[in-house]
Amino acid sequence: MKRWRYLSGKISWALFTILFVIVLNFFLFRILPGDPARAGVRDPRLTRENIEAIRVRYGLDKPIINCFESLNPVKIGSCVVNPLDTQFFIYIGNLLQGDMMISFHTNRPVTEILSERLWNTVILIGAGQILAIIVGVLFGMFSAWKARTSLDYASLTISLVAWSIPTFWLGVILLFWGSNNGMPIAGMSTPGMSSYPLLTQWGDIARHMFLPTLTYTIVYMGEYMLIMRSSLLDVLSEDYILTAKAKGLSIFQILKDHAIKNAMLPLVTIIAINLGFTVGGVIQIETVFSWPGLGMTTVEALNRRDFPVLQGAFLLIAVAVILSNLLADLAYSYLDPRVKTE
Amino acid sequence: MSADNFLEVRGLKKYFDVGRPTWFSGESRSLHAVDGVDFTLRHSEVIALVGESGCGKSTLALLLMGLEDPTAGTVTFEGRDITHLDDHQRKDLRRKIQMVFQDPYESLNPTQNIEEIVTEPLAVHGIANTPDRDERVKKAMEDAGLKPAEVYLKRYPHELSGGQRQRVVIAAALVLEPEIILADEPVSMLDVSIRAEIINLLAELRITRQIAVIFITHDLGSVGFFADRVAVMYLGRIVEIGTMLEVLEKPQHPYTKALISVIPVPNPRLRHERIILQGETPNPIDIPSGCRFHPRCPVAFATCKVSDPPFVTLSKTHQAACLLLVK
Repeated sequence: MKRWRYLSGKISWALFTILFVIVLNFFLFRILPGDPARAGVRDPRLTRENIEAIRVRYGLDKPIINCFESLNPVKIGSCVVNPLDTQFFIYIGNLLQGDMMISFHTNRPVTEILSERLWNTVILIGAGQILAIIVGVLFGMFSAWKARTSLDYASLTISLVAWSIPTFWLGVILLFWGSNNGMPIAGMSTPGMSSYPLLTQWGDIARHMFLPTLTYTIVYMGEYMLIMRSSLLDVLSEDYILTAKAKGLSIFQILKDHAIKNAMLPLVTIIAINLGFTVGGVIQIETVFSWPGLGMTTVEALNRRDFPVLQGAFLLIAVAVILSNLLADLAYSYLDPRVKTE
Repeated sequence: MSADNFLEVRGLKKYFDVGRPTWFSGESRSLHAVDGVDFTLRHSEVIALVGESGCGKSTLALLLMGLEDPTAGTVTFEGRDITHLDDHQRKDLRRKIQMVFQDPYESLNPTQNIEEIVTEPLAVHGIANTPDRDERVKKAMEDAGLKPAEVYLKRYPHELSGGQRQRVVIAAALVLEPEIILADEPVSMLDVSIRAEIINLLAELRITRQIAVIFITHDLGSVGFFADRVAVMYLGRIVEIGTMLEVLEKPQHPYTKALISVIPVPNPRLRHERIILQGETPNPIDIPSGCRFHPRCPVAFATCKVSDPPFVTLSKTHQAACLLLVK
């Protein structure tokens, strides 16, 4: 019963946050300077009538919300418009029906674009994330175990350097290195691959994934390593570790039964938050390696003022972050008995 | 020595290196945490080690447990030298010497429940699968005052009070049926009202289970209840050792006298003048020359600065290290 109340409290907060994001998303992009009708089609031959036609087609001629023609505070529009005929309420109404509208640029439904791009991002960053966690945690454990030796300092330095390298810079360096070694450096697959058997196609994707995944792993491994190291060192200085030693547990048993479980707790939060951002993709990596994921889609949509795609992508990212935070809370209450479930 | 000395400590020293030699100063310095400690412990005897913080009490406990390696000296247990043992040899010994730490909030793993905590030592020593396991766990818990044991088995440390936690720590020590319990300030983190309960518990165990207790404390007032003998430590050395009555009623070392004079006395008519020591405990890196107590000693004289006092035997059981007693 208590647990259920804890859960429903968390869920209702998550829903409230999502609602807030939905509203914010709409206004956030409309504050941006630039006209979607012009930015989408950069052609000097565009006449006033053409632009007007584009605006009508995507509903951009309607007032944004009652009393506001646009988000320009000087231009106060009519307040007697039917509220259901404003951009904001059309957006909300469509969203309630699960329709994220049509991309200004490609004319394809946003849901279709996003579901395709989401998958690309998830396989790329998911692989990188898992590798970073495994390598980082093992590295951190090793470093804590060898604390204050030259091995520890060496791995600490490597991790700090890895963490502080700008992602795009590392990406570009690895890109040059890869292009000299015959690695594919752009996109997700070689053109014309679709006529090959499925297994060959997957192999091709894996080859394309190698460099961006490596970049991601190197950058994020450092973070996990540093946190695991300090967390484990913290736990190892606790009295219950000394007690365990006094009871005759071997070092391996102490690490397995006492230290790692407690040291992983702070990591759970960070892993969950990072998993949420996985969906957002790492814009820099996707841009450097031209990976057709969510991150690149967002950048492209931003340049074209493609509001529906932007709204959809941001909503997706926000939902992912909120869900993974919810998951972290639940995992935490399960892993740490001190977290009261009420 | 006699067969009765079942734990015997001789000339035990532990120096910690502080600061390696650098280009600027060639000498390496060391911290003399324990600097020549001798004492013996008999079967089911309670000995109290008293001293200010920083006098090396806790280091001494870690040395006795084999959690630190001594710089010099020997520890003999039941006639066997246990000073330098590897993990494998030491494991068997750990069953016989158990430790209770100061802070019951830190010495329990927060992710284990009480049953796991108390059972773990059995598992470590490969006696977890015997049919009397549950019986043993239950008995240890009830002996430690967690009655009825069933109520506590599935609880987590954070759900218990400080006193109950300390009882869990004691139960986890008792479950291996040790012969010595080393209690490092077991009550200093507890509320005053609970201290007496834990001390009484240790006193009972000594009677019901014939366990010898080394009780480390900075509070001379709390040892009067149950210690057989009291050893007073100052800067890594024992300066006075004797039976509880000898030390508390007829203290000979000026440091012991000062400690006893500040024990609160409930009866105002019996109050006496307090000896307030001047200054701080000296840094154990720079031990004073001569008698290490002389910079703070109210009765020091010239010789104290140069001559290290020997142990003076005052009675069969009472010894103190002070130059005033030498004549």
